[in-house]
This record gives sequence, structure tokens and C-alpha cells, in this order.
Amino acid sequence: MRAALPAIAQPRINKFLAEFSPVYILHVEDFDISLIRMAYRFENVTGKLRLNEQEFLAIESVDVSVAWRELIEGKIHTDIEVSEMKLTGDPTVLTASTSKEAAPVEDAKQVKDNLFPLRVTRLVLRHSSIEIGDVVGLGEEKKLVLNEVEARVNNLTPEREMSQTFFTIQGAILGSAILKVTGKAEMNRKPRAWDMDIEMHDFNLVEANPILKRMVPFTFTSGKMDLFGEIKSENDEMVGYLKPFLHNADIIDSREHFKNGKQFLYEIGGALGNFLLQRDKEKTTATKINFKRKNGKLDYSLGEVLGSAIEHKTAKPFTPQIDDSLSIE
Amino acid sequence: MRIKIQIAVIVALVAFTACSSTPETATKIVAVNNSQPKASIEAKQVAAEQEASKVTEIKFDEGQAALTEAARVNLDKLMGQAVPSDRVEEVIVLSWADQEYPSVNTKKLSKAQQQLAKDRSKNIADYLKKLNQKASVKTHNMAARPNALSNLIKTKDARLKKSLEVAGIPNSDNTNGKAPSKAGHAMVMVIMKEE
Repeated sequence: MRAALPAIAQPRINKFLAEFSPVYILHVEDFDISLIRMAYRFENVTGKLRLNEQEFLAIESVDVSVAWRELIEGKIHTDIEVSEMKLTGDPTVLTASTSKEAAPVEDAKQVKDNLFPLRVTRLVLRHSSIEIGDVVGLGEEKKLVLNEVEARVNNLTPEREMSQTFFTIQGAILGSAILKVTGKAEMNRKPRAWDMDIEMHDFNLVEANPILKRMVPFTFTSGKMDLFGEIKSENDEMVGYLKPFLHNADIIDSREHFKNGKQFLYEIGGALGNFLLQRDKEKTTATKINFKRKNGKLDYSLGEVLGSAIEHKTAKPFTPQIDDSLSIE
Repeated sequence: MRIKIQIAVIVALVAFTACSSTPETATKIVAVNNSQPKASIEAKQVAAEQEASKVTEIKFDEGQAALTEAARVNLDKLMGQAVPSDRVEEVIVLSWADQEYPSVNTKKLSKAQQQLAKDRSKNIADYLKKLNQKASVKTHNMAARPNALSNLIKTKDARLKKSLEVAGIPNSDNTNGKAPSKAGHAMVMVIMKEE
């Protein structure tokens, strides 16, 4: 029976995965069941766009097992462990997933209901990576890459009596900077509420030049950035702050060949601003950007950002950690 | 010339703010200012893994196990948020000595340091019991690593300490500077019962 079940189930699973979405096609290479462990496992899962068969997802294995600790309390719940997932995003994938036909939330719900029918109490992601490119066909060095991703979501499908979902994500950006994200969400509340804390350490600005060049009109010749922030979304309003810290940052390179006068002006301006606002002893330039987003409109005050930078330079320096000031009720 | 300087300053700001927006309408978030540490992201990561919705950190004076007034205020605030009080399922306390968590090589700190961390946990637990008599308080000593058996059977103590290591807390061999020092600190997390 153990040997026969996968052979019967796998074609059905793949038929469902090939047809469930007008935008995506998923495929499972292998499917196995472990009766002793009360678990089943998908191996070599791939996801492609229906439009052009572009692969955006590859997963080595998805292991679904009964959560034994819950079984002791008489509840049949499951734990899911996803290993070596590679998610690749670019404008084609983004356009497809935001198209009229796409319904990512409903699609995800369909997959969850069909492949993981029991309540999921824990989702663990191991040894995974995420690559994002803002232009189609970019080389790997020009993409924003988050690798060594380890993530965990507790109480993914909450029941009424235990309403909060908790998540943590940790990974390395561009191979060196450490990114940590943690937070909680009220998935059953309408509208959904969530909060999130973010810390990033040692983001190498020089190594990031190929990416940053498309965002800011100058190149960094030295320096690293740390980033601290908190965001909260409640009652359809998002509030938060980001605290970037630049360490030993420098913009102007004497060997730099400026594309035009405008870029030269930007680089001079950037270097001057950094020079004027850098705290002498610690060689850090920092500010705090408070923001609010409501009805699709993002608000923040440039004056306040400048004031914060001057405060860091001339008064008490900002503490390089989250303020622990935002949390959903 | 004046215009050029203005542009330069704005561009400098853009270098670390990345974009611009409508002025003077943002919500100002005022940080609470006291002498106690804020809950670090490492504390929040471990709290999320334990499904603890409330977490705080407190700091002890060097060599002392007694709670400072500011530490009491932090604990009052934490337990004040954990309402209704009869829904508090468990309070987890992790106390450090005056040195960082021992590395794999160090295994445990001196007996005096272990006792200091233990006394700190006890004082926190006693104070929490005053605030909520029914609360179950579990303490963990961050002056010693879990033993081999704890690691093998993955006790809660071993899992908590492993989670903190993965989150990147400094240890006695590696004060990496990427995560703030935890020496002299304690983390307190509150797990609420299901309704």
C-alpha cells in the first residue's frame, strides 16, 4: 500500500498543480509517503509561468508531517519543512503575478487546501534563496540576492482561540550582510494586522554598486550600511520607521569617469552631504525616517529626516538597534 | 551657487533616504526613553519562536542581582500588557551573568557567574510572582550551555539557547559587534493561553 499510494496520488497531484492557476504551473517530480512517521514528502518541486514557461520556483523537498506535540493534546495538525527553495523574481514574474487573472492569495489557498489539508502549526524554510532583479535578464551580480535563508512561521493557519501567527526570517544579502526580520500577524482580523522588526548589518555599499547604480545616481567607493526598522499595519494604515546607518561611506572616486555634469553634481552633493552629516568620532551618518502609508499614499517629512541626521551628528547619536516602539494590539 | 548647495544637501539625504515625499504629514513615533535596554531583535526572534507575544529586556548593575527601579518599571509594563492576567500561561526568564553566554569551548562560566545569573533569575521570578501570583515562571541560566543529554533530547532549555545562538547573540569567544552585548541582561517573555 505504501508503495502503491504515491504512484496513484502523484499524477493526480500534478494534474491539479498544472491546472489550478491561470498564471502558474507547478510540478512535483517525486512523491513519497512515510506511514511510520505519518508524513508525506514532495521532491523537486518546480514552478513556471504559464505565459512563457519561465521558471521562478525550485524546491528540493517539502516535508509534511504530523505535529506530534499537538497529537498529545488530541489535535491532528501538521508541520511543513521546505528545504532548498530558490525563488527568482523579475518584472515578468511580477507582472504575471499582479495581472488580472492572477489571484495569488486564492491560488495559495487552493494549494494549501489540496496538498496540506490539515491545520499547519509550523512552517520551516531551510537553506533557501531569493533572487530579485528589477530588469529582465540581469546577471546574478546585478540582482538583489538573499541566500542562506532560514525562516519559520508558527501558527500559520490560526484558529480562533489562538489568533496570532509569529514569523522569523534570517538570511544573508549579497553574501555578506545579515538580514533579520521578525514579527507577528493577526491573520483572521479584518483587515489583517501585522507588525515587523527589521535589522540588517554590514551591507557592503561597494559590492552593491551594480544594484544601487540603478536606484541612486552615484557610486560608493567605500562604506557599509546597517539598517534598523519597525513597521506596523493596523486598520488599513501602515506606520513605521527606518534608521539607516552609513559607516565610513565615501562616494567620490578620483578615478571615476562621470557620465555627465549632472552625475558629477550628484556625486559632489552626496559626498558633501555625507561629509557635513557624518559624526566625527564614530564615522557614521545616520537618520530616522518616520513614515505612514494610508490609501496607497506614502507620507514622510524630508525636513524631519534632515533634522534627525543633524541630531545624530551634533547631539546624542542614535542607538544602532530597533526602538521597540511599534506593536499591534 | 546657493541652489547648487541646496541640491547637494538634498542629494546627500537622498543617498540614505532613497526617495522623497510630502513634508510634515508623517506620524512622529516617539521612543520611550529610560535607562533600560529595548527588547532587541534577537529577543523578539526567540519570542516569536516561542509564540510569546510580549517580550522585554532588563539590565542589572554590574555584580548585582537586585532589580533596579527601571527594571521593575519594565516588568510592570510587560505584565500590565499581558491581560487578562489569568490568560498568562507561562513566563520565560533568561538571565545572563556579567559575561557573555559561554562558547562551545568555554561551556560554562565560573561558579560565581553562574550563581549571579541564577540569583538574577530568582529575583525576576519573585517579582513576577508578586505581579501575577498564578503565573508559571520558568528560568534559564545563560551562564552555562546545555549539557550533552539536554542537547540530545532537545529540552526546552537547549532549544531556547540554540535559538539565541542562531539569532546571533555574542558569546564568550565572539563578541561580534553585530548583536548587542547581553552580559548583565535578562530577557523576559510572556506566553498567553489560548482563549
